[in-house]
Amino acid sequence: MRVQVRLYPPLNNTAGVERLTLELEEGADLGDLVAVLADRFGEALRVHLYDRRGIIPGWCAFVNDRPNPFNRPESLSLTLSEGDRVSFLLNLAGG
Amino acid sequence: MSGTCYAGKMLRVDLSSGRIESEEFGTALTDLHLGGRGVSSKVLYDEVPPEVEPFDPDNRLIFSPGALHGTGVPAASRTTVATRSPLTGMHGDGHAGATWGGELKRAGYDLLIVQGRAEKPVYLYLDDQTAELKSAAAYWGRLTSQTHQALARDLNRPELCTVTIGPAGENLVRLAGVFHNGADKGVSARCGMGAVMGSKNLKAIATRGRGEVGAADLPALRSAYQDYLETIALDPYCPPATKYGTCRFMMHRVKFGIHGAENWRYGAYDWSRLDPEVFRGDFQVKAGACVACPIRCRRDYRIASGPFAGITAKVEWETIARSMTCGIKEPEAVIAWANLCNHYGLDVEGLGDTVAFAMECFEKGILTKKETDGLELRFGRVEALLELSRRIALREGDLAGILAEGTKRAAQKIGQGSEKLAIQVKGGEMTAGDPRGMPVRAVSYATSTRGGDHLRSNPYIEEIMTPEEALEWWGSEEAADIAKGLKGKGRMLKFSEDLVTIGDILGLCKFAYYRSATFPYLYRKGVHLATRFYNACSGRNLSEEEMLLAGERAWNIEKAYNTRCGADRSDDTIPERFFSEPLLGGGPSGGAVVEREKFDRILDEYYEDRRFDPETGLPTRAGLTRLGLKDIADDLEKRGRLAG
Amino acid sequence: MARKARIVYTNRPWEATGICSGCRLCELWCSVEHNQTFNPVRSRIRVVEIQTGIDVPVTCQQCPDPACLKACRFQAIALDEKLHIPLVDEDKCTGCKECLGACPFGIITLDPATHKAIKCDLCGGGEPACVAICPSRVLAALDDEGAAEYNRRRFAALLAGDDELRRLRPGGEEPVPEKLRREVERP
Repeated sequence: MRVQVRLYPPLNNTAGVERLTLELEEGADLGDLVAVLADRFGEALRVHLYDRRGIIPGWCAFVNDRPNPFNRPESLSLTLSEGDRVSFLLNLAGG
Repeated sequence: MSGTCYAGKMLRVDLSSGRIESEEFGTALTDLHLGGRGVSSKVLYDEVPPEVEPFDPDNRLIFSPGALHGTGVPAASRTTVATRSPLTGMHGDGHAGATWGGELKRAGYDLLIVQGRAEKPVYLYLDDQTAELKSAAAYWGRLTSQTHQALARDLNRPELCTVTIGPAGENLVRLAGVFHNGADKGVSARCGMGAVMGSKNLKAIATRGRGEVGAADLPALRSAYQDYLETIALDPYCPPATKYGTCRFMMHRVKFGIHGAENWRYGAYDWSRLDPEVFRGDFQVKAGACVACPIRCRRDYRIASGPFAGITAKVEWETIARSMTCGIKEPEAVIAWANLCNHYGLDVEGLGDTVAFAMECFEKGILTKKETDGLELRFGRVEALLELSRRIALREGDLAGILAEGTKRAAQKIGQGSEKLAIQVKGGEMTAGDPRGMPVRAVSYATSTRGGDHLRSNPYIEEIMTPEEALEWWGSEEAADIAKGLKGKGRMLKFSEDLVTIGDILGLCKFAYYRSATFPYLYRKGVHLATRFYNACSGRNLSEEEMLLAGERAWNIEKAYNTRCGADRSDDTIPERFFSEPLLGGGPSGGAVVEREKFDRILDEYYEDRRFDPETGLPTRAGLTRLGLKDIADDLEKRGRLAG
Repeated sequence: MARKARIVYTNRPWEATGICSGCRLCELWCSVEHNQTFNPVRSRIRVVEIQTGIDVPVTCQQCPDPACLKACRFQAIALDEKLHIPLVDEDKCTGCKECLGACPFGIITLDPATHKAIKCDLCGGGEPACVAICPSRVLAALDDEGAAEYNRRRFAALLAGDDELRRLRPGGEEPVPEKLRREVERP
């Protein structure tokens, strides 16, 4: 199945691309999507997505505009569907 | 103290008598309070009792560079300015990332206290060991930028550092700030301290210092610096800060739908022209930096074409946010407005909310063209925003004079139900993003010791902590749940407040130390490395717990100050709009309100963790003495303002 | 044979982070390298703010025929044998400041603590402190050939003149603008 991915800083800068379409296995979840991204764009991106404990909790994946913060472990098990729009935004508001 | 980050002396200037005295600055203050906001909060408590009103000559203006400011510690750029606020009537302070504070240290002083009132406008001139008061007749009425440049030229000191007020401060506008090094470097904006400076007839403090700021243990400092660089290389928070500057916070507001647009009514709003890519592509001059900062997230923006062509201004996120609060959607308008505020000496945060308040009054017919002198004061009207801002700085016309008193007083004066439209906490106007849908963030605005403010705490850590970490630190997994969690949130709020206070004590920038993508990165920068940097520069040996205690101590002193001024639990609240009006405009947080039961439960837990009385919010003797503040407990008790 | 080097401001004006940010970390860490204290006035590299938003780090360009050396009446400035750059001999320097007036670039200054003339000494030949600390990496110790390339660039910019340079957008564009590089990828 295909999902539309939107990358925000710093992921888009590192990856060199802002929007892309990814092909995933049926039944893939958000955790799988992160792994695919890290594989695709290599170490430079991986270091922003993972630390030694696993996927960095400060990310929030908006799936069709619904937030799924990664510090909620159930977020990573959210199953994706064909045509889903997924955006990666860093949590941590400022001002 | 030579060979450390401390100069070892302080200066007291009495504008009434003209007397200038140098005193020792030593362990009596540094032991428990370290520097920066720690010292200024203590001095304010000791020297400005509630019998002294903000515009009385006996109010103090306290200038306290962060303990590490002036050293090469990364992002140790900040100075605290403190006073009794004419806006809130309580504790007031502001900070700025600019070199004036370091120059004060190099001139030989860790602390400057100004008291009294000069008969005629003066400025204070510090040049290494020289200190004198000089006539400011030639500068009174001039803009912040003009004053800074003119002083540098007239004193023949091209590298002069200054703090100045613009016409707004001179006119006792309660939304006036104290500007460091001209219009576009840094401003201690909140709490109306520009007005206090104006009330003292003090136009500027011109400073040149050629002395040293030391570091007791250079190898330890270098090692900590390396560690810091490695940490920010890994932390995903940092690269977008460098690339976009603070305007990038737009994306967070967009995705969560919490803009605070049109006087805090709309969560979703048209932001397409305020996209960080637009600011970066069309207006950005370069990636600028506050002194000693490797992150480089400050921005000057220059307008190349159109009716505002040629205008350059320092613009940060809150300027963009408050522009949207006034319904503004174009970047040129934002930059032009920032330029006006910076040069006239106004705080964009408070001014933005005040103008937005007036706009909503106009739209609801509470104000008409008669009161606005023909101005069409509607949301989104750029010329109305600019013209009204200018009038407020100069108190031109009745309405401007009313609004110059700040949102809270203006609403009281205007009446007709407009109090409901005044979006302020304790008199200090609201900041950052809308709290509806994020319970602990709502409480954090209520508990801030200087009025509505998001910089007092970092409850955003709820967005990055894992449930396991939340359980370990706050005793509950649900503290890591933004919308639904309750248990543990109060404790998390207390911790985040103490944490961020460390930054203000040491003079460290929050964006460089107190924002991260993971809690371990945050703790590493904000507590671990901050403590190592302080120890290396001061020669002391504080533990991380002691550093957190220093943050907690300064917070408690400010809380005690506010309590002594008459504040209690009833003041720890937020505007009714957030409780009872669902967020408009749809979007991810559309329809949300702050639920009062959740708000109260978090506040209960917070008070318990802070050792305040849960019913009254008053500090307790046990809580204060635990922090070495027995004198303050005695003072509060004498005044009937201690719990129990 | 040791090659002469000098610290050059190697800005990359097409990148927002390739321009001096004005952070002044170079001043602070040059000072600490030489004096073990933080004091910008005792730094041998100075950041000059031309106007809001334009900061330029300037330091000694190690002139082959130094005006400072020629101005000194006490033989306190001489070409160092190892580094081939003019250096101040503090024992001979009297603090008369004639070298300050002689340097056409205002680079050599008087240390207010020692009252001796100070100038960039390339940190004794190791990695210069300013180069190491600059977060934007706009400082480099270049040898004669490297410095010549930069001088050529600057001269070319001078010839292009303001009108041509103004066509660069305020924020700067990468040589291949990101907007063109960014495409919608297909798997």
